[in-house]
Amino acid sequence: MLALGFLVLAAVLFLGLTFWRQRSPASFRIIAAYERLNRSVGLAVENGTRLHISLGRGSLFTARGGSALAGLAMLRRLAERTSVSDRPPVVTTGDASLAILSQDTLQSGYRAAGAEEQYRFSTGRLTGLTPFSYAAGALPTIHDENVSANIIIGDLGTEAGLLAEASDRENTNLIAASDNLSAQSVFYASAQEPLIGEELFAAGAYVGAGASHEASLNVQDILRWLIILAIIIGAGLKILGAPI
Amino acid sequence: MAEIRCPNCGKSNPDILDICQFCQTPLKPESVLRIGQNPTKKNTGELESVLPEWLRDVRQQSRDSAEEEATQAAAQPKVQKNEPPDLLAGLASQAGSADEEEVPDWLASINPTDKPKPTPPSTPAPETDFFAQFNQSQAKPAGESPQADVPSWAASAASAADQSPASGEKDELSQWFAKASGQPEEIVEFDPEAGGVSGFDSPVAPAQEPAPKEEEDLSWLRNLEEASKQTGDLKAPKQDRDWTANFDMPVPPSQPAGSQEDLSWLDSLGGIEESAETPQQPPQQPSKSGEDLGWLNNLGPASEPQPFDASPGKPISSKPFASEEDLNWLNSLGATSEPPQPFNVPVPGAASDKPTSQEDLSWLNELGGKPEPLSTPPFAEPAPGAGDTPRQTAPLGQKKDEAETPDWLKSAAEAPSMPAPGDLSMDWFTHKDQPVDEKPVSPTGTPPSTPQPSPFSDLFSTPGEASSLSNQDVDSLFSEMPDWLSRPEPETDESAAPQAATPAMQGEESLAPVDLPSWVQAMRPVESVISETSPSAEDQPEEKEGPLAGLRGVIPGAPIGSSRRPKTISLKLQATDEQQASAALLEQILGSETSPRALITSSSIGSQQWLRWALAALFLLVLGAVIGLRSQSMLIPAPLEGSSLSDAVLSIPAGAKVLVVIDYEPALTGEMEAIGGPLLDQMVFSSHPDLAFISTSPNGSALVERLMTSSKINQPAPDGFGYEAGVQYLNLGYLPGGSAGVLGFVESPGEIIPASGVGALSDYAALVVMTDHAESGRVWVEQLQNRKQLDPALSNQPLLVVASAQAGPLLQPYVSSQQITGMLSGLSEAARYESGNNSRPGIARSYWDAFGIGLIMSIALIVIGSLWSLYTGMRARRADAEQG
Amino acid sequence: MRVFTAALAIAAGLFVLSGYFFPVDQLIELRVRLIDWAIIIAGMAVLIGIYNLIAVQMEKIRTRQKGGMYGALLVVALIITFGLGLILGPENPYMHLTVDAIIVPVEASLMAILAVTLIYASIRLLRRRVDVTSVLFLAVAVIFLIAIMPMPFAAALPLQDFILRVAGMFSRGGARGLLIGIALGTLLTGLRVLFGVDRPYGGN
Repeated sequence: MLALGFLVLAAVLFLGLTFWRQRSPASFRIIAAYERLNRSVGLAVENGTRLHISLGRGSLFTARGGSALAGLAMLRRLAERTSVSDRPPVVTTGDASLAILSQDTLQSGYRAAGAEEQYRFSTGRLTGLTPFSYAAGALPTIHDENVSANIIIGDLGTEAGLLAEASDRENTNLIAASDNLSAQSVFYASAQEPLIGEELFAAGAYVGAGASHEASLNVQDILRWLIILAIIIGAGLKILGAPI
Repeated sequence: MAEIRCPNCGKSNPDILDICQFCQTPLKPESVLRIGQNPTKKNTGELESVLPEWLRDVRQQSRDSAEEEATQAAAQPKVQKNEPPDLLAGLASQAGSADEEEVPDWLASINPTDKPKPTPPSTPAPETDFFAQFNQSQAKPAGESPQADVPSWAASAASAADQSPASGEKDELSQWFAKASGQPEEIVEFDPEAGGVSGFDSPVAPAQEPAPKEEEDLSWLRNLEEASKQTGDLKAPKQDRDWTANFDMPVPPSQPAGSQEDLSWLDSLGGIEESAETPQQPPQQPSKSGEDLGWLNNLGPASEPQPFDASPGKPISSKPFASEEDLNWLNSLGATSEPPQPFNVPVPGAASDKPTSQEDLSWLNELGGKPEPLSTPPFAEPAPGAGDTPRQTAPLGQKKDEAETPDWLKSAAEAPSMPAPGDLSMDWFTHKDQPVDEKPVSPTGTPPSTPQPSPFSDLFSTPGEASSLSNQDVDSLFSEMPDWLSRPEPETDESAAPQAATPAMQGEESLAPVDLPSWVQAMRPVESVISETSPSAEDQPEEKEGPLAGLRGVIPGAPIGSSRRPKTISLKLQATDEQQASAALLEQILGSETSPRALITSSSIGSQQWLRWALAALFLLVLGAVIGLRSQSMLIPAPLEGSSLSDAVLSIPAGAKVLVVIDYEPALTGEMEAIGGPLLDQMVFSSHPDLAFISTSPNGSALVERLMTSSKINQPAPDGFGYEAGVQYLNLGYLPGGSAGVLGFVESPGEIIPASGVGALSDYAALVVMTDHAESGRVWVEQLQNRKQLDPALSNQPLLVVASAQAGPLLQPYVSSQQITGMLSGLSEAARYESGNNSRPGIARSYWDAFGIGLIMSIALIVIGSLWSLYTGMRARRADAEQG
Repeated sequence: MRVFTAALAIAAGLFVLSGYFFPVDQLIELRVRLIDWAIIIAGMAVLIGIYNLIAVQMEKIRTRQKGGMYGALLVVALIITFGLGLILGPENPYMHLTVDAIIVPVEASLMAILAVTLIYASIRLLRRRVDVTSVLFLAVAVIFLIAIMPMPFAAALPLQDFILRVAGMFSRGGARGLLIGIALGTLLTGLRVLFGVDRPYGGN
């Protein structure tokens, strides 16, 4: 029941803050990685290069699906913004379901931009069913398809190091985020602007996905403080010998 | 009489008329040219029906005056080809106007200081002649004359208007102006030598000083008188009230815009003034005040103010000028050209003041005479031998009286950049190549030739026809005041340099450097900017013959050839050194943008590739050698005593079923087999359980055999335990659905995977999870924990985890919370566990030395490389900072 | 159609979530049923993904793009492996040989390359940016490597255990915090999908 209550509280806060953010947009701190992302998108459109967006291998049946959905939300906005580019973005995934969703998201983005004819099914790819095969399958995309920026957001493990190394060899911009701690450590050492922790889930808010994404960040902050209080209180009670 | 109804206005007209007398619409359809019909050649006179009413009036007046002048000026030289319009005819209509404020500026500015010169005998102008009225005005009290600058002819027109109903004369003058402005086809050709139309372009500059209008109205007449009394050289006209000065400088707007504005256009005419006095001009309006006709004071020293007929159609009574020499230029004007009328120039309403000396305006009487075709080109020099023959249309003789020189004539003395308006007739073009000197000048006093149907015939009139201008013409001219005429001219006094009184439009067809409108000034090129200050009259050559004789600066002293050619406009910018330097800098900047800039490429790519290869080679060589040599020199830490993992393994009943979850990828097979091998070996060695393998990843089920082989469990004895697939160990395959699938399997494993052979999860004595990522282990831990709460039989089921080094720290809390019974994480723990298991199977021990050496190399490379990168980075940043 | 898909997704999510929290037989049954259907769809999605993989490689071969030969090799290997699996079965020793001889070595090699890559990235970290966090990151990494490193001259050092305990405490705490934040983000992402705000299935 605690979990249900926590869920209901999160839902109520989310709905309320979403309506509030629709009237009063929030202003968030500057995250250098997303600033670089927006600039990279613009440069890619201007100089006729393409974006490589990798959504990882997170299955929607696991908790890793959350990072995959966050990546899809960002993909939707990027697809709409890059629809006017000469080279459409390429999306690589390590999960079959995620690959199908990425294709659908690309198509909806082009449709929203009025350029549905620009969609090509080959822009949403399944490059491998295992983490390293997925990474290995994404490397040719980085090397051979005139990519100017690599955006890696999703569930990736240490295999993300291969993608980061390929991006570094091609002197392209790398904006990477993962819910995996190992991947975060790899990104911290490889990417110009790494995203640590839950900054991955702020992608939607920073690319202008809508008021709901901004409200989600506010709800996360509220819940985090509640958890902090619960931990402190629980630890204190435990120290005091309370039967928890 | 039968009547015809006009199809346009609907009014009845006599059937004898072809055009409606009200709206001038053709009444008969056959007069209309229809599509497909060949145009029939018609006389241009038949096209008069399409002309505006006022224009037709002017033409009619011109014809009337021409007929009258023909009889009167039979002896006068006929130099005018086109019938000049009675531009001053409208003056007659305004002569009776008592409103002194309506005196045009050009008249007001005329200072009648010139002595009237003996004018050539001119036939008396008809009553309808514009200038005829000046003769009448001369009889007026002289007290009025010094008060106005209006020429005598204008004043006479005013006086004549006084005799007639004032309102009617005023109307006639207005109508005359209106007609004069609407008769573009009547070209009043000018004799360029007579002064041209140098001041025509510039707005009419009325008299500068708002002197009493009565005084200014006749001042010009006084000038004419004085000029006529002199030797014949026009002195510099008065600056203040000289009507010619009005062409040089715009009249300040402070000047009364009354009657001065009406005739102010005449100031700017220059050589047009003579044409304005031709009979071809619309009826000249009588000067309402002396100011309006002041310009005429300076027309010539020999000129006498001629009364102009205020009533349109009324011929101006011709009266010879007292000094014909001064007015000779007017004669040449009337004889050579018909003044154009581009600005709808009605002759400004002349002042109603009387001229000071009527005898000076005798030439004006001749202006309204019968127009004669131009026998001489415009601006032509007076014919040799013409001498000082006074011309009808030349109120000013050829005496070079600079004091009498009107302003417009001063500007005409300069080199004109465009032909005088009098040249706008066809004859102008025929004589284009003729030098100025060669241009025949119509003899002074020569009545204008028969008018030619040219577009500008209304604007200019030969001097000879000036006297023949009818009052109607004058009225029609003054009926419609052009804007430039009515606008007060901001003329300054300085520019009204005294010009020679000789109104002769001799020499080049030049335009006096008058004040140009602002929009014209803006169009001037730099180098060809005419100086604001008109050249002083002293710098200009003095006209020696013609109507402008004695005048200076009336016609620019440029050769006729150059004056005809447009001035070359230099396109070279006059830029200062600073501007040129700035332009050069800008050019350099622009050039640098297009020029390729050498990109500063970093050499990091090459060094990165070399470093990668070097690292890879180092590790391959070193670690390969260690493994190949089977080195086991490095010590393994002591085994863990009393570990819960070992106790849990040893507590498994013999022959029990144990579920082993394979949740690692093929990439980490080596590590996982090294870690899980000792655990499975000890389990099989101690309990001989039946193993069931399941995997939540598609690849896991393919790794079961490899695990069994590497751990030597399925190897036959004595190396292994001889487990057979399907007997002692079973591969359940892939469990889809992630956490949902795990939950389902945990709840009812027999339903999810029937091959498992168990009804509940509690049938398994232990659960071993081998994972390389913490997520998988967390899922199993969480699902089992929930199930344990529902199924007490699971409370004693141990959960053993074999995790990779990267997943172990994340699963440690579960170990601490005892949700995980025991965990082996990483090769180090596996080696220690294996050492306690009698080094069975020995996979960890074989990796230990290579693992240790590899770690040592990694640490060394990271430390040394980081320091080196730090140093090179600082050096590179310092170099970049120095380069700026 | 977009409204129908959104409504269907929202309804399915609510039923599954309710089935977890409310132990109602019908809800549990519905939850299990829906999950089974989702598993089936995911399984079919794997086949669709494999088809997409083949199609992309074929497109690359057809347009003669760079790396087309490797794409052809991939397609050929896929077809052969798939055929053998259908014919021989996954438990056939030849299939095991394929896994043991190709899949595992290839991925293990990639893992080894990753090790070199990570070392190289660590070396270049201070060249890319020099700040406190970068230096601290490298320092902690080196410390942990030393802590788990086998000593050539001794079995183990007490310092290593101390380092592992103390440093591990901070690292585990930080990792726990990151995981909590990630869990919260996952929670809100799920709520957005549950409320229909995010429709990754093409409804946006």
